[in-house]
Amino acid sequence: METNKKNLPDGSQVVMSGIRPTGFLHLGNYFGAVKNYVRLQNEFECYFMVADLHSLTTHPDTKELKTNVHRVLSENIACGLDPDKAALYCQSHVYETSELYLYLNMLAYKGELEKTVTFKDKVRQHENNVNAGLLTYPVLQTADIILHRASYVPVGKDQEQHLEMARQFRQSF
Amino acid sequence: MFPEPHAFNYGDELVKVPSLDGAGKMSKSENQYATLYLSDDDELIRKKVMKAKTDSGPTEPNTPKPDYIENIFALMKLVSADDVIKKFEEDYNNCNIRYGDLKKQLGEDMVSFIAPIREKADAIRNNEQYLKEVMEKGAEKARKSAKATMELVREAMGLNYY
Repeated sequence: METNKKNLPDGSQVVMSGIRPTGFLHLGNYFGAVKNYVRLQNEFECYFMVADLHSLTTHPDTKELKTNVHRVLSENIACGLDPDKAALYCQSHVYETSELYLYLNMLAYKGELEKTVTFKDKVRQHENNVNAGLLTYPVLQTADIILHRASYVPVGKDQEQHLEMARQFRQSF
Repeated sequence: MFPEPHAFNYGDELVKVPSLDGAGKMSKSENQYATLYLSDDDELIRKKVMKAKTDSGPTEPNTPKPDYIENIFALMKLVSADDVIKKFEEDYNNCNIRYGDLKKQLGEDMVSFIAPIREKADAIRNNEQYLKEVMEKGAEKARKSAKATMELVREAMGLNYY
């Protein structure tokens, strides 16, 4: 990692964010997210992850996955994301993610997971495929964050619920 | 053992990019024709922008803008030069704005913004060897950080037998 990066306000310096490998980037993604990644990578230690494992929970057909992963990587790099500055990687390539996810699943309770807003939305959208991965989606998100001991996650307000879950999990250790 | 994770945003951001049909923001699940993709070709960008909702224009000087006109100006602020925006603002306030010209200008500025990104992305996408190297290098960096964390986690879980 670059050595000239400064620390975030609380003294830590790790930023983590996931990138969905579904669909094409649009102007809203650019100005809402990617532009900030490009700025963050110059200032902090950044991990930007293509969330291919996450996509399996809602897109079990992997026929298009390779094309989609290549597209999302290409578009993000074209927007200025620099693989030499940030760690730009695929979730499934870092097996520790899955190991941590398994441990965290032992600390996650069915009742709490069922209450999350994102789960309820997903059940509505994918009523014929309510798999266990869908239920534990926030656990995997937590694993992504804890894996790099990240302090900052550049996400919108709608993600506050899973961040709260990540904060609770970290106290279990 | 782990820092507390928080949402992080630069103070000035959380930019909302309005959709071209005046309804909500650009998103992939909404109207495809109201969203500009970084992969759209020049003609498609122009066509989408020209379809943006307008009306017959203001009749009283300094009328507040309806939201769909406000949206066009908001999009312009993302990609157009300051003097261009200023000119159209003045035209609007003087009631001699021509929405056809406004949208033509926005279309061209969007093309100038998106085309280089699209072309660069296409070139990268066609270079599988480069993408492979990017993914390998990224995974290597990520694994280094992950390994250090997992040693702490296994210890904390009690999975340390020797």
